[in-house]
Order: sequence, then structure tokens, then C-alpha cells
Amino acid sequence: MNRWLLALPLAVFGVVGIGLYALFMAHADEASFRDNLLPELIGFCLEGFFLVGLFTLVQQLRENHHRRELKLSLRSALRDFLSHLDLAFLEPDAEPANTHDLESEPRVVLRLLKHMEELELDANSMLALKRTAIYTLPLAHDLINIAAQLSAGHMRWWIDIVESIKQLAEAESREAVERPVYSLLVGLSEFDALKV
Amino acid sequence: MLRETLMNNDYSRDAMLEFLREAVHAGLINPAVARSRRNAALELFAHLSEGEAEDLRRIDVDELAARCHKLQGGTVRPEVLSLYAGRLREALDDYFRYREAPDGFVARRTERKAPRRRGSEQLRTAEEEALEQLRLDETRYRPDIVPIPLRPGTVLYLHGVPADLSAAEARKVARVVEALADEPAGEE
Repeated sequence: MNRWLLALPLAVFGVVGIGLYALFMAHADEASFRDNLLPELIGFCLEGFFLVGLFTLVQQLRENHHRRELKLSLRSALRDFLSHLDLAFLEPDAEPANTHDLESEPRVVLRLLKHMEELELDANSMLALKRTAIYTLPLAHDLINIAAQLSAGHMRWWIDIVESIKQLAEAESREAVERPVYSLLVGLSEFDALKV
Repeated sequence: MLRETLMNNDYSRDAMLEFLREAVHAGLINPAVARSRRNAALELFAHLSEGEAEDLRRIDVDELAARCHKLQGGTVRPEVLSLYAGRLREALDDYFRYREAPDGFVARRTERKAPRRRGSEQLRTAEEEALEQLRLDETRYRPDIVPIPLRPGTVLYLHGVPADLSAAEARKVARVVEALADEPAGEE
């Protein structure tokens, strides 16, 4: 819309307001301002305080919700890595972690980090992780823009995660797989620790 | 006691779930194994047809897992489904063997191995390491991306090639790529 159209009502209200104030002051006696205009101004200020405060609060809540959603979307893109790692370290008769926890719970990442330090990945899991990296790399790369919308910190850690995925996609030995997987988990735990 | 609970020639879903519960009390199956198999069975049995629920011998576990994968729209992860399918296979195998010969029944061990501890005495054999290396080496590119090595250090990746690409379409792609070259075609 033309910005002059938006400025027009402002100009009309401004000019009319000044005119009315001049008219009021021209016919007012000493007590008129305190008796008539002062209560109106107090009401106006109170309304402004509540309305602006309320709208700011609503806006803030909506923005926080949106940012949390963005963070969850980014986190979900890495779900397959966490799922394969969860299964790799699963005891023979234990139950795998549920999908919701994998997508949103920072403690899952911390648990996997601890497992990475204590346990070895088997060949099938390494292969599954490498395949996941090959498939996820373009998506993770595209999501850098989304991470940048959260904060500079989120973007930095996401770039770190993408780099780990890239190294994992090119890995050709056990060491070359385990190193980026560990670094991906470290990056993800730091990413989780950042506030939205 | 367990034999009394289960009716003869009953290969139904309910009878198998009952078996998994009673076999623990009878000391035939480890409680943790029974619990994990029961959870897997409950997850997959939700998608049985009536006929299959009446007679579990008609189940093809892989086909059942594929059916769950399609129906649940990704709520259960594919890798978890294949874990459950493996557990269900073991549960069915044990159940059928029990039905055929209850007297000498010994439950089979879980096939999945516990993850190996770092620095443990179980060292990987040279064959295992070589196989590991070979498998990791094989997987380099997505199957839907065609790598075309142009010269040392430069690889071009072709993505989204349809499976039914015709010769005419391939020539069209070639012409587009040709137009990107520094010098016009025919100068080489």
C-alpha cells in the first residue's frame, strides 16, 4: 500500500487534535484543564499502558513460539542420526527411545555422548549413520538459513553440525566415522543449550 | 501349568501373548526378553488381519512390518520397525517350537548383541576390520545422484535423473551442459 495513504489519517488526526486543543484553550478558564482534560489524559495513558503492554506480551509469546518451532524443526532434521545411535547402543532386550524424546530432549544427546565414550559402534550402525549423513547433508545445509533466524550462536553451532555431517558422509574408516559422530553430538548439545 | 493355560492347536494372537506372559512364570523365558518381544508383538499385531490374528502361522513378518510402515505414516521409525520385526520373528519361532514340542522346549537366545565396550578384550579380527572398511568404502553417494568425474579433483553430480530417461531427453541434457562450456563445441 502507498505509504502516503498510511500517513494521511495520521496527518488528519494530528491537525484536528491541535485545532481542538487550541479551541479548548481559547475558551477555557483556569480550572478547565484540571477538571476536563486531565482525567481524559490519565485514562488515555492507562489505556495505552495496558494495550501496548498486552500487545507486546502477545507479540513476544508468538515470537517465542515461532522460534521454538524453528528450533524443533532443525532438531527434527537430525532425528535419524540420534535414532541410529540409540539403536546402536541399545542393550539386546531394551526398548528404543521414543520419537518425541529423540526430537526434543537434550538429555538424549547427553546420554548418547556418554555411550560414545564408553561403547563402540558396530559396522551396521556405522553404515546406517554414513547413509543418513549422505541423505541429510543437502537438507542440513539448506537449514543454515533457518538457524540464522534464531541467533548467531545457533547458526554457528548448526554450521559446525553440518560440517560434522559432511565429514561423516565422506568417512571411510571407523575412526573417520566416530570422530564426526562425536563432534555432531557435541555440536547438538551446545545447540540445545542455547536459549531461543 | 503353562500347557493347561494354552489350548491345543491355538496359534492365535491372544494365545501367543498369553504364552509370553506365562512362559516367564514357568521360567522358560527371561522376563526382559519376554517383555521386549511382547512390546514388539503388540506394536505389530495392531495391523494384523482377522485371519492372521486367528492363525499366526500365516504371518509374513517383513510384509507386516512394511504394512505398519505405510499405515503409521512415519510415527514409528523404520529402524525401530525392523528391530521389532526381528523380535517378533524370534517370539513366533519360540512359540511355534513350544507348540510342536513343549517338553523339550528351550527358548532361543536373542540375536542382537550388546554393544562392545571400548578397550574390551574382545578385539576385532582382521577380517571384521576389513569387512567394515569395505562396507564403508562402498557407500559414497546417494543412489539418486550420479557422480561424473571430469578431471582429477573435479566431480560433477547429476541429480534427479528419472529412471525412464529416454535417449532424446539425455541428448537434451547434454546440450544444456554443452552450452555451459567455456569454449564452443567442436573446438576441441
